[in-house]
Amino acid sequence: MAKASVTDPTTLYFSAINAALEGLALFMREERAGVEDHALIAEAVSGTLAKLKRSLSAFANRQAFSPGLRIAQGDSGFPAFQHILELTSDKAKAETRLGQLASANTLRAEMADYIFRRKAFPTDLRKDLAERLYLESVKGGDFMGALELPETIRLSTNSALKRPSYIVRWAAYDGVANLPMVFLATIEDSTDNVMRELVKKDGSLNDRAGVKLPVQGLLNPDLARAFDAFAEKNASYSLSPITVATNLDKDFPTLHPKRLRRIVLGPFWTAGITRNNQTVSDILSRIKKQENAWLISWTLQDVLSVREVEGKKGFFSSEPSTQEFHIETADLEAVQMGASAYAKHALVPHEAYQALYASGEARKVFDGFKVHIIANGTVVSDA
Amino acid sequence: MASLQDFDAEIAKARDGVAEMAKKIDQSGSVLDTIAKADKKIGSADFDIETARIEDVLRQQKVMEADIADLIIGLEDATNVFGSEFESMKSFTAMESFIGFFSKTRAQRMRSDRVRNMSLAGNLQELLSKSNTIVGILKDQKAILETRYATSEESLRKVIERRKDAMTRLEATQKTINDLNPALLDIENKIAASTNQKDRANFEATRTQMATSYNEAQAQEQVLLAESQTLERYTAMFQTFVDSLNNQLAAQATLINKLSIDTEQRIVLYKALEDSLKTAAQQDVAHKINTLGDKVDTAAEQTMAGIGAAAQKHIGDLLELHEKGMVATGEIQRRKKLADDAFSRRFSDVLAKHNSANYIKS
Repeated sequence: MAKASVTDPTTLYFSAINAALEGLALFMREERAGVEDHALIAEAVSGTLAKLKRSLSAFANRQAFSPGLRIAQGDSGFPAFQHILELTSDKAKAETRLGQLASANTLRAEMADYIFRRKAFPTDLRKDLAERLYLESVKGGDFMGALELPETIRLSTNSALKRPSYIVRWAAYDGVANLPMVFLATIEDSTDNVMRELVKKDGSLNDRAGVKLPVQGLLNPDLARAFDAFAEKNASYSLSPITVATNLDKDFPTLHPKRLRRIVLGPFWTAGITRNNQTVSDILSRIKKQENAWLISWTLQDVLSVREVEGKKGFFSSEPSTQEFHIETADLEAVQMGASAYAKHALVPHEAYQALYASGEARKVFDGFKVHIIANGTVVSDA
Repeated sequence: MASLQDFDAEIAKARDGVAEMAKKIDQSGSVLDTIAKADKKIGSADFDIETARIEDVLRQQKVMEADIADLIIGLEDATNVFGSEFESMKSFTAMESFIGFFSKTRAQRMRSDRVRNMSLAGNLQELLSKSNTIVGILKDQKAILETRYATSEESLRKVIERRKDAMTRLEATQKTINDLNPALLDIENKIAASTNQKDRANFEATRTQMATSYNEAQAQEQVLLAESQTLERYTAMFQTFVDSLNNQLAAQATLINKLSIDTEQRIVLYKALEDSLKTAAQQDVAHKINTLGDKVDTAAEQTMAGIGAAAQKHIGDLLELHEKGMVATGEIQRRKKLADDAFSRRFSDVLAKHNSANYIKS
């Protein structure tokens, strides 16, 4: 059977995290009854998942000529933030650097020449070729950056108040916790221009506005730029969803966040590399197939507005309307997270789940989690 | 030297210096390769030119390394600007203090808005790209040095071989001379003793033949002696060259190590600082939410107690988080210290000069 010592840990890590992200993508692709807004969440997350996968394969390619991968071993299991920045800067500089390197065919010819003439392996040339191929793939690629800018993916109206209502998504890779996060906000807009253009007199959506979704940035063009800046400044894992929602409400007087969901992807666990729960690590390390020795969890945090405190329009001073967000005081973890509700999910390969179950630890490890098991290309949810 | 943007020119300068250097090392290296080939003739004119060139290379190398070391220290200074930015986040600006004179809460709010709206993303990206460029230059240089070192060492070995070969040939020639010497004496004695004309003529012929080979051997000895001496001088000179390559390699490794760890540490540290400032602002808000809860019925009272406990626990979690962060930073700190020590051992004079220059400036 495959032994851990045969291959190097970097290869093992990449194969495990790739399998995990693929599993997660599969979970999102499949239809799921009984899960609220599954299609919407899947739509919001899948783009980020694809980008993450591309980033990871770029990191793996980078190892060929510039080894050294740092993984946040603690509560993350994802590569360190520095690699995300590195990839962004490599992409920006790819064109210039490619100009300095010889073409791939020249390099291949030189390599062959070198082998015949010197009867040795052309290490430097191979590095150059690896760098060249990496840069070529990076140049036009679409990767997970520190921030994935907002995008409007749904449009409807609040017919009572005659406001358009958007669903906006954006994503970020947190630099301290080293976790990717996807934000999904339902926002009502009471700015005059969009109210006029998008909503008909009866409160329904004006089809003649001809909006083709998804739209880059917030649908309201006057606020789009400011909203991008807001997304960047509030994309910290350490800021609770309720803080982000409150900040959004405060920073934009005419935007009314009704709901904010944050999907925190991770932590990711794999045997021998990440340092999390000791029991889980022990059990995972006993699994023979490395590509099945992982576990990925994600958390959906949800903040809901219960009511809107109407603003005052006075002669001397006016106050914008503000939202009152619900805090679930009955649930300590929700309070702690700063969310109205939350759901913790875990995805495990069948072999790993079996191992956990057999050791009698499954209940303890997955306490509070909705467990999904992946086997033979389908995902089954544990009740 | 205050901002990161100013570094492009200096980086370009360092890159040019490295390219220039690589060319010169290549020249010296290829001369060494030529000498290593046994059938090449060597003259002293080449030797003098080559010695001068190697000396030049050695001198320039010092200058270049000092330049890059200076660049790295400069980068450190420039990034310290972030540090002062953070400091300013902790305190109130003049305007905020003025407002605070009338309303403490308003001043607090202004400050937390300011903290909330700061972002280091651009600066971090810039920092990373700068230091990656420098590391790239250094790594290119290191690769050149490594190949050059390998071939030069090989060539040096060949030169030493060649000298050994010359020595053996010299010894053989000297042996011939030593053998010929008594034989010549012997034949001269025979000529002196001989009375027979015919014998004498024969002896004379042999003597002439012997004398010719003796002279030839002596001439050969001179040539071989000169070659051996030249090769000896070359060996010494290229030994210096190879040593300096080795030394340069170590210097490059020190620089690369220091710069990579510096960058890693800065990204982790600054991001963590930014986060902790922003969460502090968040906790200010959280406190206010807690104080808002004045209309509570008995049922809710219990939950509020729970929230209190949760808040306590949350702080505990934060501390743990920090502790975990600390372990990570501690590890980086440890590696940074090693890299810093190596750096200051090797580049102490550059550091001293840099510090004194700053001292005069301020």
